[in-house]
Amino acid sequence: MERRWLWLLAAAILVIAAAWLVRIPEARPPVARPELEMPRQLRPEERQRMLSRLTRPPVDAGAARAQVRDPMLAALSAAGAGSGVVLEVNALRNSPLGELLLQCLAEREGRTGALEALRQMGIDPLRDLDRVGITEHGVVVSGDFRRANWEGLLGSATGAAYGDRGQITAVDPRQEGGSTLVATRWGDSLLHLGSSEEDGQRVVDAVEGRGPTPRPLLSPEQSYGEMYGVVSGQDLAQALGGSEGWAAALADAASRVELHLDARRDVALVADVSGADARKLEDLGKTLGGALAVARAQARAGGDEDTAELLGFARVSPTHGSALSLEVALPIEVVARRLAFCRGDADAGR
Amino acid sequence: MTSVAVALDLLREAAARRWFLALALALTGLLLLLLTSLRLEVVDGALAATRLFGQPLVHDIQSADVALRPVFLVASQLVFWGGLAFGVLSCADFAPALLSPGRIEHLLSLPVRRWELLAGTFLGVLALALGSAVYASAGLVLVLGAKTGVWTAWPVVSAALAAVAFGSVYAGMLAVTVWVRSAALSAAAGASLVVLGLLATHRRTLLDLMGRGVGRTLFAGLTAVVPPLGKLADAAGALASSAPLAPGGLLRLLAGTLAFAAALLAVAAWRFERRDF
Repeated sequence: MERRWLWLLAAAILVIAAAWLVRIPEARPPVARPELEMPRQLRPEERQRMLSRLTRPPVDAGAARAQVRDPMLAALSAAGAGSGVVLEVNALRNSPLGELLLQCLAEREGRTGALEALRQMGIDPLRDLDRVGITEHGVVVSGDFRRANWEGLLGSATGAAYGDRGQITAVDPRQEGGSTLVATRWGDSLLHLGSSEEDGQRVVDAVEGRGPTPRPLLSPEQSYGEMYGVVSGQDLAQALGGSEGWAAALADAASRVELHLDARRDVALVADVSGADARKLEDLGKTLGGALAVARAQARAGGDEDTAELLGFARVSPTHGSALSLEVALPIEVVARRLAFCRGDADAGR
Repeated sequence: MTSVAVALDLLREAAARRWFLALALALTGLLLLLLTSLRLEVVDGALAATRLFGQPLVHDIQSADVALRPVFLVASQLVFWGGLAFGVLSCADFAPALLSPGRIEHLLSLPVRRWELLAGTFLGVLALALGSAVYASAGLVLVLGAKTGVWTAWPVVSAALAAVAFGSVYAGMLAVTVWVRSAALSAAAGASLVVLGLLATHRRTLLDLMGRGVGRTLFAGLTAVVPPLGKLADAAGALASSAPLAPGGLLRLLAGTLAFAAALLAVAAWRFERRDF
């Protein structure tokens, strides 16, 4: 080899050495944002699940409607709620995320926790619960409650019969002065916990198809992911807090947020924000994107690598018409690290 | 030895230039100004009270060495970044002058290897940068030491870091000159390397802000090699102000900076070896 080519060889080796040397090792290699399939529509197995849940209302239910319905979604829509979220407890329990959460709960509560108390009442939350839905008007739980000890749970084995399969039970107020709890059972598969008997009646009417059709909160086609729901702009602003002006502007720009969480392996969350004013929505999208970028840069500049990493998993998609999308893709190992505090790990949350 | 002779020749040439004469006069003037006008009553008072009463009279006064840390920090940054800027501008035409018609033929007719000419030029400029930085920082240490009784050699070590940083920049300037004999282009290359060094310092943050694509890949590739000058400046500041510093990290950074300079010099030597004059 000619001598002058040795210079080039030396240069190449030195460049590689320089690149290796100036790269000061970091405490932990950054976890790349996983390229996940975002929950955007019903997947084949979810379509099967959705179809299997659709029931026809009883034939003798007054002004019965011919259409089929999902009892859980019908119950959630009964009181005209603007916001509601459904957790697919059974699917979530069998996901890696569910395993982590259960480990966390077991470490925290031990064998004497709420899970064990429910088991003693004939409901195994890990086996018998299918879904839990939450709205501002109460909680709806679906599952298999044939073995439930209603007397132990509600203070009475039977309640006031309503409709075809409904039973409404007023549970005594708690000693510390809580409001009255009204439990409404529909057969052995649905339980609604609300604050008034009227709420209970509306739930049974909606499930059995009586009376005027309530505006659906969620359609069966929207029941994809391990968690899904909608949040109104006002409820979102209220939940996030902040000044009145800020909350009003947020509610004005975002009239509705639709959430879907996929936890089959990694955790993918999609929040589709819609609003009437496309320009305001575009501004909201840019604001969110900018805030994420600034927060990430600030966290990195401040040496808070954990927060910077977490923020790196979130992304705001450009506004399309009257909707924008916030996507979060969390690798399951990051979630596991975040939940390490349950196991008392020294590096919890790191 | 031949390289050292070339370096000494370059230093003689520098001494004859007004740029460096002006720098030497300016630094000397600044140090004299500090020596004659700086009144450090607070520090002096704290020191005197400590000597007299065993403790300061006013307890929210910091000890003199702590109070001087910000001064050394600012001085180190001035030496680092000011030195880089001054060095890029003032040393840009050393290499073009070396390669000027007539002179290069004369040099090549001497029993000097081509790479020794380059190495000598580089060493000469490095010595010049080191000398200026050490002169400024040692002068400041002497002035403040005489005023306050606080003696520390770390600002001088910090100045040496600044000289090493400039060495990596000058290696790039030299490599460019071997291709195109232009002082302006040499200065532009130096300035570009300083900017790239700054960008390399905040590489991860900037990469986070970039979308995937050719631009991001190019930026990632370039900034992976260029020494992060901001980190070197931070290390210089930390050394000067006696702040905590991870020694392993600094050594790697220094070694990487030297390797980068050596790589550019090797490229320059490769080009210089095959060029006809």
